[in-house]
Amino acid sequence: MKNHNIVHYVTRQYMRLNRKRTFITFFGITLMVLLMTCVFAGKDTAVNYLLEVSSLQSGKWDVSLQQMDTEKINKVKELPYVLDTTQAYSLGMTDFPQSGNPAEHPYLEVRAYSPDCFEWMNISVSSGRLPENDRELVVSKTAVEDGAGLEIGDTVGAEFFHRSLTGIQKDAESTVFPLFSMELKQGETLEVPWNFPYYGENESFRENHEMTGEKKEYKIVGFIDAPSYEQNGAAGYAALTAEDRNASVKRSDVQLLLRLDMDRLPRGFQELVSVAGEGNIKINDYRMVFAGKSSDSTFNVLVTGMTVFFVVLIMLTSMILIYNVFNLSFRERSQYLGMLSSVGATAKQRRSSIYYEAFFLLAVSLPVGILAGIGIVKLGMHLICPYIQLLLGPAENIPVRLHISVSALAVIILLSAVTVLLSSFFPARRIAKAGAVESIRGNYGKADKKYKMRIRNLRAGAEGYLAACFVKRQRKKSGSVRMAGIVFMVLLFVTAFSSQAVHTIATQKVNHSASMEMKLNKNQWELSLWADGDDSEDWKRARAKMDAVEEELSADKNVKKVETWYTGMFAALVKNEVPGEEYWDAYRDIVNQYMHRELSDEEFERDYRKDDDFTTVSIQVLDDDSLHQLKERIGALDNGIIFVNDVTLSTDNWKFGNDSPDRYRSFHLNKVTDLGQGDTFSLWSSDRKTGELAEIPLQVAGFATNKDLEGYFTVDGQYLWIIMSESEASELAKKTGYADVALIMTKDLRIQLEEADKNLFQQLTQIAGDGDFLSFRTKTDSEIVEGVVSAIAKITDILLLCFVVLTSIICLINLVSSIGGRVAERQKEFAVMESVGMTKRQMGRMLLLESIRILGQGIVAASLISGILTAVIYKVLSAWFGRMEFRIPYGQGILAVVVTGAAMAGLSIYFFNRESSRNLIENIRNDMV
Amino acid sequence: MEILRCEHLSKIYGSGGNQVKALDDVSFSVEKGEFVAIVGPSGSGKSTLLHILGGVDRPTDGKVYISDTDIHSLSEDKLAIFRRRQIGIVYQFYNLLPVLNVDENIVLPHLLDGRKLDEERLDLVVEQMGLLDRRNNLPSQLSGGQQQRVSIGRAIFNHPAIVLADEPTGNLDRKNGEEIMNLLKKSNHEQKQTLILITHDESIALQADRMLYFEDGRIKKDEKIRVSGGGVA
Repeated sequence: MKNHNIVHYVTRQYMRLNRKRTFITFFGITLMVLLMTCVFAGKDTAVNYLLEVSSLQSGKWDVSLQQMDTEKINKVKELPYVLDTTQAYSLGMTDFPQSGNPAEHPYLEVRAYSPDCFEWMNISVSSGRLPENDRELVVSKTAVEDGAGLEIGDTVGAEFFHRSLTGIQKDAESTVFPLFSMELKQGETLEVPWNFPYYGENESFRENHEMTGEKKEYKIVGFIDAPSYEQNGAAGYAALTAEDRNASVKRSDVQLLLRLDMDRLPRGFQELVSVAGEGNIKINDYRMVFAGKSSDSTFNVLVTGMTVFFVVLIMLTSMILIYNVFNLSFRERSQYLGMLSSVGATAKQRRSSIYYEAFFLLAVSLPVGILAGIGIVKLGMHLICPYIQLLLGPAENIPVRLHISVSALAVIILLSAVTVLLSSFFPARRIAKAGAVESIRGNYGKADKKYKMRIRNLRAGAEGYLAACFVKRQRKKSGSVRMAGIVFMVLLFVTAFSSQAVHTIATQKVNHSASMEMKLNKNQWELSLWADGDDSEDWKRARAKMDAVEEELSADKNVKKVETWYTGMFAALVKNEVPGEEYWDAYRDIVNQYMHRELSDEEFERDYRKDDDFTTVSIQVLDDDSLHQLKERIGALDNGIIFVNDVTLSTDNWKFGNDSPDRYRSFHLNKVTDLGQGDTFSLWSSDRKTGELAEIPLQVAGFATNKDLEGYFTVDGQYLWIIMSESEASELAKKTGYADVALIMTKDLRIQLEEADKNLFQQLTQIAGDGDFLSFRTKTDSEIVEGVVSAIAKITDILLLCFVVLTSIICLINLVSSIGGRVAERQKEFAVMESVGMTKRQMGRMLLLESIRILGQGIVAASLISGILTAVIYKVLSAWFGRMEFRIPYGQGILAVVVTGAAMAGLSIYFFNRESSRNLIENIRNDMV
Repeated sequence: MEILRCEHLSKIYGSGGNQVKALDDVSFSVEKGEFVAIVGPSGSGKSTLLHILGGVDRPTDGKVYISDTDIHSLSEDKLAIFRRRQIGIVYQFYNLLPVLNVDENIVLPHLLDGRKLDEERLDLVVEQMGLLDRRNNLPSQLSGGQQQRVSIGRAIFNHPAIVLADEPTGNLDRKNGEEIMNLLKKSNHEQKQTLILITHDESIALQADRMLYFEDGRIKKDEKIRVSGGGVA
């Protein structure tokens, strides 16, 4: 025999003997390491992937400065927070006689890049190589795909020019290019941007080329994938060359791209704006958000918060699992350690047995868990990537690169060790305290309590009585099962709440801006006439068209109904006393964020909430039928207006000054005013002629939330909305000198069709496209393309779901090991009961009743713990983000109880059936746990 | 009147070359009210026989009739019900439920049968077992002798057809052993309770009406010591 540490040797022998228990502990620790790896590696990998995907859109730069000259560039480079720069400039357009599509793309648009710029702008070569000097050129492969007669090694001549247009149409005043916000009058010459299309010869305007004086011969060295800035409609194909380092021309149109050290960046970008000039700075928002460099910290706070949340969750569930396994094996362990103790093993040696087993298993689990975690992260990213691509744009060329830093690995190992140490601490202390004799006898901690037989409790039957005895009188032994059940319920409830809270925060960010959207279904269309207080001739024509359409529609058999609504954004004012205290408290908090200090009561009252000052309100007018239905639905009075009690004030939708807020805050208000039903207040609006405010007294008929408005419209954002009837709106118009409500509010026709009508669709589209005042919208048009924050919300949901599933697995294993261990420990009891005549059916019923009792006890504790945790999370989130509407997920709570109960009962019966298949005699004789 | 009859019982453990024959063609019968002692060396098949008679183990071959019921032809649930009504088992290591007190352990088979608790019978049994001052104690709060008395109380509470005792005094000192034997004999004499008892102790075996000597899974000797409930045979 080698020179063994005998305690460790014996521990190893018992670990071998109890393979099942050892495997459960090993599996639990491995799963913990795996989940930790998933959290850290997953976070880094996902954030880096998002960074790369977001970089695809515009490049790997933080800030782009336009119209820069050498002096400005040097100034910027000297700024302490500028980490790195690269630059590009446009040489202009040149004729491209080799073009395969000269009718649309007769030019090359050539840009010169400094060496780093190719990588920063995500330029990838599809064939050949990148240019190394200013005599080499790469052309977008779009040109080749369009049939350009061009090959690598060819030479192309370039004589650069800038394009402009001159209006030549004699019978019209001007030509409008709405996409470019350009109006070209006859005889006028305007420069056009680089992405302006080519129209060829026409009667409206003439294209001019102003030569820059630069001429060059380029050798084609490669073709590139279409760069992100290339636009299909532009006249020129994208082409790139290297910058001319020895150019004698001093340029003042250089684009300077920057990467910044945001930790050192002063608040905002004022310094950069002052150098580059207003309008010449562009921020790469997506990249900054994902790189944690954005002034909007929501994403970072969410990611950090989720990381902490999951790490704590994983540590807690793992601790309970490991603790339970050690606790269940206490009797057996105390017997062999008691024997060792009787031959001289000290308390320290006994304690070391537990630590030895725990850390021995950790040492094996660490590499296995880390490798498995990395594998799961890779697999998970492959599964999530399609969604990210869907949300952020095409990113199929970006491979998933695993990111895990050495420091993250160190944190995983450290946290795993701490978890194992904490979970084995109490069992180790308990085993060290036990005396040798009581350990061997196995009567450690026997209670002296006596129990009287309660005959009336027999009404629940022998099974119910026995279940009660087992649960009540073996509280410690059933404790591990109870604990596992509690953890399972708490986990399911708290993660459900947290997921909803995180989802709310993210979606709140998406819907922060003020908007009103009419709800449309498949066969509902909306034709709108924009208001025009000036009563212009164009508007009158549009109005006449709309009236004609309205008349035509009412005669159309396919049209079920046409409702006339009006929408007036900021259509009127109310005194500052109308918004309630909740509104002003939120408003004040937001002002404080921008002022970077707490305003005093006096300051706030003086500068933001003067009693005789006004707040704007928006108005939605419904037709009488719809309004009547709505009033009935919400129990409002027949007369009067409805306040919409769904307002969100946030640092995103309120801005004060040019500064950024201290941090993101959002307040969802459920009560916008302290006025009650039946109270009166006044609406104010400027008189058309005198400009003086006219007063319109109104009564509050009731209050509606977005939920109440389902099927009508939804409002989002920071402004007060009131809903009124057309007669009330007419009164408002009349008092302010307007003959028609449509002059002060947008008139909306909500057209309900029996079935889709292609001809009518084309007709309405044409009408809306003819003039500035009409617009036409269908469901497809109203589907908003959600931005990056929405993507975050969705990705967050997916990640939350993944982690809930994985942590649920730990909890389930915890439950399985606790129940499995408990059933194994009770084999002798079961066998005795069977031997005195208990049937299998009675045993199953008893186990079921036991589970219900344990679950009942667990529900109380789980409700308490969940309540406390939910309140803490709510407080923390509210303190950080503001007051949002975080819903308590009662449904998931009930589901958690049902799932836990079913798991407990199912597992108990399963383990009993499995274990009882052993010989009854064997079980009766079995004295081992 | 014959209360138990077993015919050509055999029990084989293991398979192939590792087969062990614990019982080999054992046949005998027991009359109602008879006290039978089974003796023999360790591994002779005594306990196996007792477990098969008690319906907690099944024979490889052969039949066991208790009150004319072929117990091993019953389904598992029916056998369990039969056990709680017709068989009382006393184990060497008591096998009481640790969470039940003295009263509850004694009435356990009765409660499992779903019958209304006969409190008078309980009081009587507890008194007979000398446990009146220990009724609310859990097994862990009792001595070995007291635990075995609870075990006997549980075995006789339902007036079973037979009581099977597997070395009931094997884990007790002499005094406690005598007390236990007195209780079993008292039940045998006064209530005509059929008793089959395994023992290594010759003095205990000699207290029985009949002694079956086991060796290598077979009955080597079936000796009538005295007439049931009466004098020496």
